[in-house]
Amino acid sequence: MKRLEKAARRDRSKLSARAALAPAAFLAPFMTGLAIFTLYPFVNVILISFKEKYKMLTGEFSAFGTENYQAVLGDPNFLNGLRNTGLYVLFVVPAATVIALFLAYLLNKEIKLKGLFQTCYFLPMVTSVTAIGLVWKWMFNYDYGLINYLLSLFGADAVNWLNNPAYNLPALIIYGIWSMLPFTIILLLAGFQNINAQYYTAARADGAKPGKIFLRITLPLLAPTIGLTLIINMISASKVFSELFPLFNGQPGSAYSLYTVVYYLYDAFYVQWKLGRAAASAVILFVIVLALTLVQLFIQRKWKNY
Amino acid sequence: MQVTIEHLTKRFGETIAVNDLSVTLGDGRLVALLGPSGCGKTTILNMLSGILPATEGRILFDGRDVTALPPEKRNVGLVFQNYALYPHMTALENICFPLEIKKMPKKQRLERAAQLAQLVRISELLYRKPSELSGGQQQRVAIARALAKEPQLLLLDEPLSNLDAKLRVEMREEILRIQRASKVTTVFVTHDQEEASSIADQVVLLKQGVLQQQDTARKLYDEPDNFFVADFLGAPPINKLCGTIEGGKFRFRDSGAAYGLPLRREVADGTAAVLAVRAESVVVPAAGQTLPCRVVERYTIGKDELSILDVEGQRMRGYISGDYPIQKGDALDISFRRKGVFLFDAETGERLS
Repeated sequence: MKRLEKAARRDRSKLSARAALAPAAFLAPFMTGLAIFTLYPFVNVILISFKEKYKMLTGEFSAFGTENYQAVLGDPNFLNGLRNTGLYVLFVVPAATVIALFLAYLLNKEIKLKGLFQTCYFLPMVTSVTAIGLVWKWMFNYDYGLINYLLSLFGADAVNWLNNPAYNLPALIIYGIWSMLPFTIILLLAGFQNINAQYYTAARADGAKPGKIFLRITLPLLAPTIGLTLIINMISASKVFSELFPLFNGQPGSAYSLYTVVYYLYDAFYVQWKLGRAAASAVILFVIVLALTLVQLFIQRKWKNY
Repeated sequence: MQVTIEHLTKRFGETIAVNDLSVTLGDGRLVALLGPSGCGKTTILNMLSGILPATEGRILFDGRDVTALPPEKRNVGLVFQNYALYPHMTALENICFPLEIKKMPKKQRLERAAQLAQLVRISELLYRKPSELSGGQQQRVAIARALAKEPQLLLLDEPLSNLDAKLRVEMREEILRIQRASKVTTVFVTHDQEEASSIADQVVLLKQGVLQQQDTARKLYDEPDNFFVADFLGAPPINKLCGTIEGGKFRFRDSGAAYGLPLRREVADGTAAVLAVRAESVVVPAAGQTLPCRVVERYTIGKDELSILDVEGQRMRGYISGDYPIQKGDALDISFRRKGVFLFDAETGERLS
């Protein structure tokens, strides 16, 4: 009897060991990739940001401390970058969301040439950011640009978008709104299509007008999707860089006035070789975006009311 | 309100969903549109509500032609199959929404909603969201919402199909009670003959868009116009015994044994026919015209004793009282009652007796 019990116990333990190993084996490839390409860099950036007088090639550093943070937070260029990034997010995200909402609403309706319009709106997503930046650079041109031509049709004076520092940020914001539209439209369109058409039939049978239906039914049911797009867009807008780079020939604005946080990071890393500062600015941006996302998630939980 | 449907036809491209339907739905009645799936019953409902335009024909509400009117001008209340309650609104807000659109003052709105909640018995659930309600409760809210604007006509699309069997029986009695209390002319769509028979005052039976018969459920069951009607109503389904008409009598296919029924008209010899017999129309001990049969199987279903019988080489079901001592394999003589026994033309389905 004893022997049998022992054997049974052995079998059971063998079984449980295998039962535990199998899922781990399936998870291993993904987890390895995650560890190498996400977890390690993430932890390393935080470490580097605290290493003083860090040398990348040798890995030497004098001590752990907050010197990098002090330097970054005391740098007027970084503070300027923080302000510009903040303004960019503040204007681009809401404006892009509202415009995308309107366009997605139209695209969701039965309109003529629907396919053509959908293709046009999504074209920016599959085109190189740099190529688009160069086209925008031409459109913003003081003398020959399309935008100044359009302004002249309304009798407005030409604006020196790219060379007058006062207009650099507005130019970047206009371009930013445009480039954010396609992805936002896709998300919102999916949200629209998730709404059961019977709600509309029911409301219409009760005599509700389109405006009323949109405000009382469509918008509340779309709220979770809008919340999601706001978070995603806020995160991507906080990292504004690839819009900036081609527009001003790789400079942060016409008079070095249009630093953004990521441009500052790029500059510290590739141009000045100050790794500690680059890492510190990345961590600061991360903390800010994380905080904003948490706030937004908290608000969104109150929004999602069903 | 009386609803008159005149020569109503609906075509979707090549397919004819509803074909030349003419029927009158009585004022204050509970009417069932009954038929197998794809028979056009929901299409008719959607044309009554105005969601779908009619291809041909007219719909009259109390003699007023509404065929061209959009849904919001018809004053109909709609209850959808999946209820379509607005998920972001509470039960109360859902019920009030049609009134809000009518721009009724808020105080009146709440009063009306409270009345309706009492009628459909959800007063204590008014502040819940649809996701916090069971299927039956959602159904009640949906009916209250449909009744909120005091419609002349209440339309329910498969109101019970999303509920489990027990709740279904309960809810169908509720629908009857609510309809009696509100006195609104009500039309509901169903594919379940039992559902239609149990509560409807008037049953409109359709097949492939064509009206088969419309009357009380009792009349449809006792006096079916054709084979489809006889076959569609009743559980267990009516027995079908095959044969031909010879010399004005039904003769069984294999044995040639005769069974006489008074025919409505002269029927040519050799016409293929179906002798349709309801399970409860089997009489033992036999009297009058008798048929020999053998007991193949015997079940107890609740209070009833259902026997599978072999009659002239064909199987049929019959209720034979448990008091009558028969066993599997026994041979006995049976006869049929006059009621619940019909002869149909096997080709056309026309009733012959």
